[in-house]
Amino acid sequence: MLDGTPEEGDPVEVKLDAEPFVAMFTEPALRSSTHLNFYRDGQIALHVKYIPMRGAFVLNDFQQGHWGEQMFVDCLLTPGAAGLSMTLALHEDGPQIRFMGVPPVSLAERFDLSGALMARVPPNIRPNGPEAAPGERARTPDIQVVRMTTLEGSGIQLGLDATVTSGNAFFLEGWIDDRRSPLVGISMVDFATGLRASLPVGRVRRPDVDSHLQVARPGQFGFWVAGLGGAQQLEAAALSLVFEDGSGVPLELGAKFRQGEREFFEFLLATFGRRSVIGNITAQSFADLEAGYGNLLSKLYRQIAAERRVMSHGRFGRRAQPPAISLVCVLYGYPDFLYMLIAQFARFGSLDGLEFIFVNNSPELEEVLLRDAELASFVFRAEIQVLTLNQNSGFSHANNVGVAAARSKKIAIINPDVFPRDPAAVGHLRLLCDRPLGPDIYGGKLYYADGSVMHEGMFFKQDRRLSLLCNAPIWTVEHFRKGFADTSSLEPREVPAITGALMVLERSLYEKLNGFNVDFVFGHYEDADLCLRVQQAGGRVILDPGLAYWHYEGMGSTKRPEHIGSNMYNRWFFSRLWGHRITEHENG
Amino acid sequence: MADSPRILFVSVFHPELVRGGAQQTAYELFLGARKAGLDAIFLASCEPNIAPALFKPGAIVTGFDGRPNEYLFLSDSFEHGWYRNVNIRALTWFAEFLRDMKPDVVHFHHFMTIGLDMFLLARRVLPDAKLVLTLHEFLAICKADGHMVRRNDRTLCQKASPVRCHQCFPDISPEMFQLREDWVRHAMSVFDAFIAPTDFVRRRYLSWGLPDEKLHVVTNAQADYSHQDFRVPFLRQTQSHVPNRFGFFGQLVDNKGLGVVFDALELYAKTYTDPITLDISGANLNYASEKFRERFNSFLAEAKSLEPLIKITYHGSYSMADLPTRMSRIDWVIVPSVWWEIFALVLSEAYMFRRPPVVSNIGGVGERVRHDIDGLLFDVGDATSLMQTFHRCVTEEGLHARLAAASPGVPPVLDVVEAHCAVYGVPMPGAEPVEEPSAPSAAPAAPRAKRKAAAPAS
Repeated sequence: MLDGTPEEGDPVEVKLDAEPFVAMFTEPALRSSTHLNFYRDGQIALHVKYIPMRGAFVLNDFQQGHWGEQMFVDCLLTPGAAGLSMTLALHEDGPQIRFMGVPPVSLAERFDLSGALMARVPPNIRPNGPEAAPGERARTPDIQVVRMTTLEGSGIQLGLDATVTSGNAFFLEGWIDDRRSPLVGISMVDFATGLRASLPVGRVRRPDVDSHLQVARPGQFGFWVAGLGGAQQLEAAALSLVFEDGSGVPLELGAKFRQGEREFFEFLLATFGRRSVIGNITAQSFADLEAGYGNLLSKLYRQIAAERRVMSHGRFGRRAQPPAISLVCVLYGYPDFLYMLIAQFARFGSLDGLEFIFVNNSPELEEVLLRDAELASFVFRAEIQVLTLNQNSGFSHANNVGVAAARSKKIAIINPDVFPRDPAAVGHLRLLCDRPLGPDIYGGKLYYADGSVMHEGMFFKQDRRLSLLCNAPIWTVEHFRKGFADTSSLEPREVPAITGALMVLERSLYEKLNGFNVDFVFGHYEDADLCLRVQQAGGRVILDPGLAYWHYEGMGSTKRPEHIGSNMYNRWFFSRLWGHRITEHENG
Repeated sequence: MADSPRILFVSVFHPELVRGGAQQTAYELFLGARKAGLDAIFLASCEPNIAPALFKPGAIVTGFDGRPNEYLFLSDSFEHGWYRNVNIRALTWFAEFLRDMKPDVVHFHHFMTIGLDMFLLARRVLPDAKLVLTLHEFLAICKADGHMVRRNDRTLCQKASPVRCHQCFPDISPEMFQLREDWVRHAMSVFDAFIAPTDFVRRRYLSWGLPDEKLHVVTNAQADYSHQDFRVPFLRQTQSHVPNRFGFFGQLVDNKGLGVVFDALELYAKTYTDPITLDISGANLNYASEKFRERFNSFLAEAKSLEPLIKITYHGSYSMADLPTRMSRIDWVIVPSVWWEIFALVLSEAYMFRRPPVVSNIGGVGERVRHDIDGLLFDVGDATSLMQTFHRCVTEEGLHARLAAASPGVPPVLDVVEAHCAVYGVPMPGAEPVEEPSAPSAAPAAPRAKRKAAAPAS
């Protein structure tokens, strides 16, 4: 329980308009959530501490006997690191706080840190600077050099911050001053077999290293490398950093942090997704993926996918007659949408003939979803299936599982945050499914809650800038008239692609195409991929405005750090898969 | 009574377990309906934290204290996010109770602790029954406890919308408020009629989108406690020489506006020299904001400094049985609410005891008071306006007597039952003789036929 009582610790005078304040939260301080308070007139003007379970620093103030609203700054504690440095500085537009490895965060709208402050610095938080004595203001930022190797005569400094392994892969993260000769890769030699592998290194921006090296301009002094091979293989290998001039330096591994395979994969995606680079992050990511990390992610994802299974399969309100339409909905993160999706359909009449299949990608929600399915079945007289998977298996696989369980020959893929706009929308869905849909796939016209258009088909647009940067055609998927007023024709029409938020098709077509492509990681781009395969198989992609549905885009599932990385991967994968064919098509 | 239509009242709580205006009036209506010869049943929700001993293993519905026709709905799984009951057994046994009782009318009072889903179930189980809902607050419209007071700046909210509601709850997206509205509207779509206790409530729900033809204004049922003093009224001072005694009755929470009274009294002390007193009766300070709690406690702690000009006495909680005594100590009832007060039973209490009310000019209370005829209005939230009204009350000769004489009292419960029957579409049976003892302080009761208890809105 927080309270406003001043804690013991060395008092340090802080005046940000004179100079920034830098402190190092040591690993024990981070693990024990030791807090650092800045006082003004006996009130806590800023309270900072790390929450390990959340992977974030929490900031707050305590004024007039009340805690204010908490503010969180995500900041992963890199396994093996000795701590995280914090820099508090006053900029033109107000105070900023920066933690090692994450971009600075403005505090201007939330905290008043002007004037003289007094910090109480507990023993396990160090005001930085090697010469800083207790009670003395730190003057220079410090970074934690876990392992340092200096090439004799070259003056190269490097540090390895993290060694993370899983049963079948590893990840290293560190920094290096390679201004003498750029780092180009890592060589890995297996002691047992003598086999040598060259691994590409990814480069990242490390403001803390910039500061440590006192460089005039920011550089990408951070590096990371990942590869196949678990802790044991890593133990049995010699790793060396390889420079452009052919020189190398052995890399000594420190303590290893072991993760499960899935956890490691998500960690790798999260690290990949939110790393800081100089230049265009997407172009840099594409380059890294092309250099081999795309294949690595693909292999790791397939290994995880091999563990997928259905944990439970609940059926509620099953009718003797097979339903006319099976609505397949993938749930992730939020359980509320099971009940609410059915309630939204029930607003407009009987649910006879409709079967709702929910595939749950959040195993921890199993019980609440089964409860809500039973309730919804009773209240709305709905026919419901709930399949819970043992892991987040992604949008593609979960839909494929759902379709396999469907009792109808007609399938509607529907997002949990997609709801019929009016009775006619439900009626139109029923009408559409009354007739053969053939080799075609149908999409709905989707609306934001304010009535503007969210989706009326998608098209492919080449991203010129990215294509130039990547030296390859990079396509982006755009929505027609997204956010515009609803003024377009009500006639069904062919479009290049439709969103996976609402798709209607024959089950037989879905099966013929092997459903959604499970090589896309978690979600995104698999809908465009399916549309392109429908067209490749001779079918049409049709936008049917009669299927008028709300889409509360982004509300139906949670977003996690690894999804940033998976989105980059999927975009790269999609471009690789379809880029040239779309280019050919566009060029006639 | 055997031939009478059966009316099931489903109420949030039983007033003898949890005090509150909605359950009080629902229960009074039930008692009045029984008295009128209607086959009325009362089902009140109860939560475990209120009376754990009343929860019986495996039971969803039980009797209540051995009383015929009164039941408790043991609601242990009400979910406040979507106002659902998430216990499947609660749903199934509630449905079974409806099948068993076969009411012709189900009259819900509130959905808190009961569940919006129960509305849908009631319609499904009883397709031919008349379903009626009394709109006791704005919870259907407003997630902020149904108060329609903006949480960011405490200003009065005129209209809910996804974006406006999101501003009150920044962690909840506008889309989720749209979903909430859809869900509430869906559940409310099953009703044949809605009863608003004031025209203000009717208008607000009309503008929210409830159909005009389903909205009726019927005043709340309330027994006249001015004739039910079980204590021996020795030496009771029913009127002071100068009508300078003010009383506040109600919950000690921010929206009830006691803070405005404190501000007004502090201003009064600096401005006027005519002595006044304030008696405070109420409880539930623990539900108030910390800011209000601090203000309340510090004001009372410093109250001595205002004496002898202003004397403040805090009497604590009260029950209906305490009303005759408490009302005898005061001349005026202050209703300083700073939210859209729906009805304010305390206003009825003021009228039944002929204590002219001094009322914020807002919502249902503003509507019920005829300014300068049977009460006084002041500008809501305006301490200066209230201060001036205090001064007028104690200095204007004949004002109190004039307003008190014009007090409308409270309509007989049987009249209110009759007005409800009109909404239900069921005939009012021949009522048993009603004993309403007259008291010297009360105005003579008008013949029932001439009273205007309520009428369906045109």
